[in-house]
Amino acid sequence: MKIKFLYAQVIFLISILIFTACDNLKEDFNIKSYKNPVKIAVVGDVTIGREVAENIFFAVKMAADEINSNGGLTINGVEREIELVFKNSGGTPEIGETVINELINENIDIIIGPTVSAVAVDMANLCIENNILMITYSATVPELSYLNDRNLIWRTCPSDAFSGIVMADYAFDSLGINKGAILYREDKFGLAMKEIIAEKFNLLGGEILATASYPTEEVELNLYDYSNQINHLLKFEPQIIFTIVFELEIGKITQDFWASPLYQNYVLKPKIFLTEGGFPQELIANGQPNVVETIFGISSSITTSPNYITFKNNYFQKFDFEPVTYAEHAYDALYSIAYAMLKAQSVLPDDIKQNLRLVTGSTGSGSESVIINVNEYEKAKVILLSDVEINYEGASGAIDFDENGDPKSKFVIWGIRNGEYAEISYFEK
Amino acid sequence: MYIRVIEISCQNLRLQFFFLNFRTSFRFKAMVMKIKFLHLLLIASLLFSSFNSFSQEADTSSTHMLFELSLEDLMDVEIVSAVRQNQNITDAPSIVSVITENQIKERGYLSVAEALNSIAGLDVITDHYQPNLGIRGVNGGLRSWSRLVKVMIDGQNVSFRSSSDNYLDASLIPIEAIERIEIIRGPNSALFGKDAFLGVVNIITKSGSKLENASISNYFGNIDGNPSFGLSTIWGGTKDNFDFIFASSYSQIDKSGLSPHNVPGSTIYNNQDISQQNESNPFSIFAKLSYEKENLGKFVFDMNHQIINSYAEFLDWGTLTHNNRISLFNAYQRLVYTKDLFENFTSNVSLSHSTGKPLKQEIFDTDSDPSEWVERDIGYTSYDLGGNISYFFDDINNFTLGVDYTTDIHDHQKFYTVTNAGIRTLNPGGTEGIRNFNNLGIYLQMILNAAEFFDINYLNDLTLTAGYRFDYHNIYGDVLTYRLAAVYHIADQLSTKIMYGTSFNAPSPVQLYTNPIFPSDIIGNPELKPERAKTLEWAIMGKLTDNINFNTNLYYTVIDDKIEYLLPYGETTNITAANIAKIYSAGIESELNISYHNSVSYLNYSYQKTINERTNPLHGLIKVETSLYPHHMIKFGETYKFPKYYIKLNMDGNYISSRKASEQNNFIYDPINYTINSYSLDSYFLFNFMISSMNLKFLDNNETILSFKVDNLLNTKYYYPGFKDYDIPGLGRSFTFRITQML
Repeated sequence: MKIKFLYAQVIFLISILIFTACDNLKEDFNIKSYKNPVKIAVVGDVTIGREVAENIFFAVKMAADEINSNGGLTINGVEREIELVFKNSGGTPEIGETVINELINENIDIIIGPTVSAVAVDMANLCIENNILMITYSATVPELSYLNDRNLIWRTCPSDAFSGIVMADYAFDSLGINKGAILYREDKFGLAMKEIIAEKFNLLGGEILATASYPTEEVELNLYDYSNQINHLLKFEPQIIFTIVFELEIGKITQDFWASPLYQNYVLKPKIFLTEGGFPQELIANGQPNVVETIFGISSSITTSPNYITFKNNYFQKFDFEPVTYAEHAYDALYSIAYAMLKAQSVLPDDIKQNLRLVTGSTGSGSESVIINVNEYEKAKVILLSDVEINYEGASGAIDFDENGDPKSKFVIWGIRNGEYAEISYFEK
Repeated sequence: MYIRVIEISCQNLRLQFFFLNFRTSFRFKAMVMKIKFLHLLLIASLLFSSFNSFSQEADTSSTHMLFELSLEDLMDVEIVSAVRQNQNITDAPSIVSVITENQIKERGYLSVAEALNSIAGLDVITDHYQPNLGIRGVNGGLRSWSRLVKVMIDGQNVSFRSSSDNYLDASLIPIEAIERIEIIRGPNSALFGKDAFLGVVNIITKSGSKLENASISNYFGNIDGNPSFGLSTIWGGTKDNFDFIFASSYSQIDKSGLSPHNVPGSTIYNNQDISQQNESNPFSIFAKLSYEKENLGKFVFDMNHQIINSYAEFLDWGTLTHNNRISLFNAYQRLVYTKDLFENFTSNVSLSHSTGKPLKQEIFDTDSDPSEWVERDIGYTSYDLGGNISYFFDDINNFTLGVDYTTDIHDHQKFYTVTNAGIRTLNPGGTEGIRNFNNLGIYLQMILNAAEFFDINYLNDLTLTAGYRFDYHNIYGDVLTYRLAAVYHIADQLSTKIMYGTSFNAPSPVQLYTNPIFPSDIIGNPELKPERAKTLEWAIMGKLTDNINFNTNLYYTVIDDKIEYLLPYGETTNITAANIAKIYSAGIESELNISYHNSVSYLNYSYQKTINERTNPLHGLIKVETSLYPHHMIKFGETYKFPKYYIKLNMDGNYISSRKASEQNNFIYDPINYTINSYSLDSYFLFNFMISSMNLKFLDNNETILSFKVDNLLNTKYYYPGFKDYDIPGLGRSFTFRITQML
C-alpha cells in the first residue's frame, strides 16, 4: 500500500511538472513572420548612445506595427508588410561601412539612420555609391545637405546650420548676451556646430572668447573629468557657454561646473546653452540642480503640437515609457517612406526618392493634397490608392523636404525651471 | 604551553612578513598595524583561554556524536529551521541539507560561502569583494550579494538591512563557532517572513557545553601567487547554570594580479590590466552567553560583529581603479528568553538590536583620478521584537503562533563626490524616502498526523504541515504567504515529501531610494513592489543501504515581479531596479552520501532550467534563459582517514556547466539583440585537495591539527559573470597551511 501511494505521488508530481513546467520552460523569442516583406534597415549608434538609439528603434517599430496592423503596404494590389532589420553602426564610420556591406548582402536598400553625424557622412557616401536610400533622423551635420547624393540622402531632423543659427540669434537678440564661449565634442558634429555658432554669433556682433573640446573616443564620457575644459572657458568670463554635447556626458558636465571654484566665484552664473538632444530628463536625473537652472536648450521636438501629443500617447501606451528626442523624427522617417512607396506603387529607392517630397507637402505636391496626421495611416492609404495626393504632417510637425532633403525646421528653446521642463520660445524657418 | 603556541604563531607571521610583497610604504605600515592587531588578538584569545576555571565541563558525548557522525547519525540530525522547532531531518517539511562542524573541518572551509558551494542547487559566484549566492537557477545579479536567501545565525537575521545583502565571506561568523549550517532550498516566508524567498541559510552555533576544546588556529597561504593569512580562536564552557562561548577570526586575503576577461569580440582589457592590492580583511566576532534554570527558563544573550573590509577591483563601477574599498560594520545583539509555560506549552520571546554602517576608510573610486572620489552615507538601526508559543498535543501534533515586529531606521544610501580640497557634494539624483521601515508579522503553523482525521491505517505515517503568515509593512503594504506540506514515512529511514509554498522578497532601501555614484549609475525606484514566488516541490530521502543515504527532489518555482537592474529603456541613462520579469524555474537536486570503512564521500548533482519572461519593446513578450546560472552542477568529495598514519585526506571537486553571461555584458556582445542573442561562459571543473593530521598530540595531551590544502589543484582557468564589460577571473591554484592547537 505504501509503495503504491509513493508511486502515485511520484507520477502525479512528475505529470504536473511535465505538463505545467515544460511549456513555460521553453525559450520563445517571439519571432514573427511577415507577409511579402519589404525589408527596411533601421540603423542606430547603439554602442555610444543606447538610450537614444533604442528609443528611436522603438519609435520606428511602432510605426511599422501600425502600418502592418492596418493591412500593410498595398503595392500593385499585393499586400506587403514592413520588416525592420535593426543594425548597430557603433558610432564609428568603420562599423557604419560594415553595416552597409551587411545590408547590401541582405539585399536591403532602404536605411533609416544612423544616429550620429560622425557616422552619417561616410555612410551617406557609401549609400550614394550603392544606390541605397538613406533617411537619418538625428544626424544634424550640415555637410549631409550638400552631398552630390542623387536625392538618395534625406533627413527628418533639421540641420545644425539652422539650429546653430537659432542658438546664436536667441543668445544675442533675446538674452542680450555678447560674450560667449564654446564647449564641444571633438567629433564631426561638435566641430561643425562650433563653426556655425561662432560664425553667426560673431556676425551678430558678439564675441566667442574661448573654445574647448573634449575627446569622445576611448573615454567614459559619463565619468570624464571636464574641469580643465570648464576652467579654461570660465577664465574668460563668458556670459554664455554654448555646449555641444550628447546625453551621456551632460550630467557630469553640470557637476564639474558646480565643482569648479571659478564657477562658484561668479556672482551671475554663466548660462549654458545646449545643442539638440534628449537632455531634459537626463538633466533632472543626473544634472547638478543649481547648474541645471541656468541651462537653455534647443530642440526640434515641439511637444505641444497635437500630432506630437498623439505620438507620445501612443508610444507610452505601447511601451510604458516616454519617447526621447528624435524618436518622432525616426517615426516620421518610416511613414514618409511608406507613403512614398504607396504613392510610387514601388519599393525601389529610385521610385521612393521621386515621391518623398510629393507626400510630405514639399514643392511639387499639389495644393489640394489632403493633410494626413499621426494615426491616419488607414485613411492615407485609401487616399493614395485613389490617386489623390497627401501631405503627411508627422509627429515632428510639417516635414516639407527641401531641395537638399532637409525638413522644414521648427525649434523650441527650453529650460528646466524649478525642476520642470519648460518651453520658452519657438522658431520656425 | 601558551608560550610555545605564541612562538609557533609568531613564526608563521614572520614567514608571512617575509613573503609579502610590499608595494608602497603606506601598505607596509598598514601591514605592520595588521600584524600588531593579530598579535593583540592572539594574546587576547590566550588570556580568555587561561580562565580555565570557567571552562569545559564538556558534554563530550554529544560533541563526539556530531564530530564523528555516521551515515545513520546523519539521517538522525535534528534541525530547527524547517518549522522553528527541533525536528528530525527526514521529518522536516522542507528540502534541507546540513553541513556539520565535522565536514567544515575535514574539508578545510574558511567561510560559510565555501561550505555552501558544496550543496546541490546552490551556486556561489564572486566579484572578489563578496560571494554572491544563487539558488535554484536564479542569481540576484548586478550589485546583489546573496539577497535571494535569508541568512540567519540561530534564527537571527544578519543581512546588512540597508541593501538586504548577506556577506558570506569570513566576516560573517568565525567558522569555528558553527555547529552546523542548515540550508533550506525553497520558500520559507510563511515562517520567516520577508527575504526567506528562495531559501534559508540558518547557522546554528555551538554552545559552551558542546565545545570539546578551546582552540586557536592560524593559517597562511598563497592565493594564486599572493600571500594570505588568518587567525581565529574559539573558547567557551559551562559553569553552574551558565554556558558561554566566544569566537573571533581575522584574515587577510590578497587577490592581486587578476585580469578581466574580455567579452567575446571586445578588446577593452589587455594583460597589463590587472588587479592591484586587491585585499580583503574580514573580521568577525561571535559570543553567546546563556543561563538556564528549570523554574526560571532559559536566557540567551548572543552577539555577532562583522567587519567587511575589502578593496574591490571588479565591481561594475571603477574597475581596476585600485582604490575602491568597501568597509562596512554589521552587527547584532540579542536576548532570547525561552520558558515552558505549562506542560506541553513552550514559549519564547526575543529582542534584538542590529546596526550597520560604513567605516571611515570606505572609498568609491570610479576613475583613478586622485583629486576626486566618492563617499557614501548609509546605515540602519533595527529593533526586532518577536515571540511565539507552541502547544504540543503529543510528539508530532502541535501548533505554533508567533508574532514579530521589526522597526528599521534607515539612513538611506547617499553618495557624495569629494574633492581633495575637502568639498563634499551630494550627487544629484535618487529619491528621498521614509526613514522608518516597520513590519508586523503574524504566523501560525500546525503540524498534524493525518491519522488524527482519517481512520486509515497507512495515514499513521503521514504528517501534514500548514503554515500561514501575514506581514504588514508600512512601505509596501500587506503580504500573505503560506505553505502546505505532507511528509510520508515509507519505511524506517525513508520518507517522501510534497510541498507547496509561497514567499516574498522585499525591495531593499537601496533599491528604493539610492542616488547614483556617478551620472548614469543606478538610481532608486520608489515604485518597487516585493518579488513573490510560489514553489511546488517533491522529495524522497532516506537510506539505500547501511552505507548509502540519498536525498532527491524536484521543484518548480514561478517568480512574479522579479526585481532586476536593467539597462533602461526610458529617457535617462540611469540603471534602475524594476519589477520587470517573470521567472519559471524547474530542476532536480540529488545528494548521495556514502560511508565505507574509513571513507566518507558525497556526490551531488543538480539540473536547473530557468526561463525569464518579459516584454521587450522590439520583440514583444519573450522567454529567454536566465543569465548567470549553470544548467548542471556536479559536486563531490571524499574524506579518507588513515588512523595508523595519523592523517586524513580530503578531496573535493565541482563541475559547473556553461552559463549565460550577464545582460549587461551581452549588450556589449550584441548591442541590438542582447536580450535574445547571448554568449556563455565556459564550463569548468575545480578540484581541491587537503591533507590533515588526526590525533596528533604535542602539547599537554591536547590535539594539534596540521593541514595543507590546495585549492584548484589543476590550476583551471575559469570566469565568473561580470556586469560591466568583462567577466571576472576565478582564482588559480592556491595553497593554505593551517595549524590548529586545541587548548
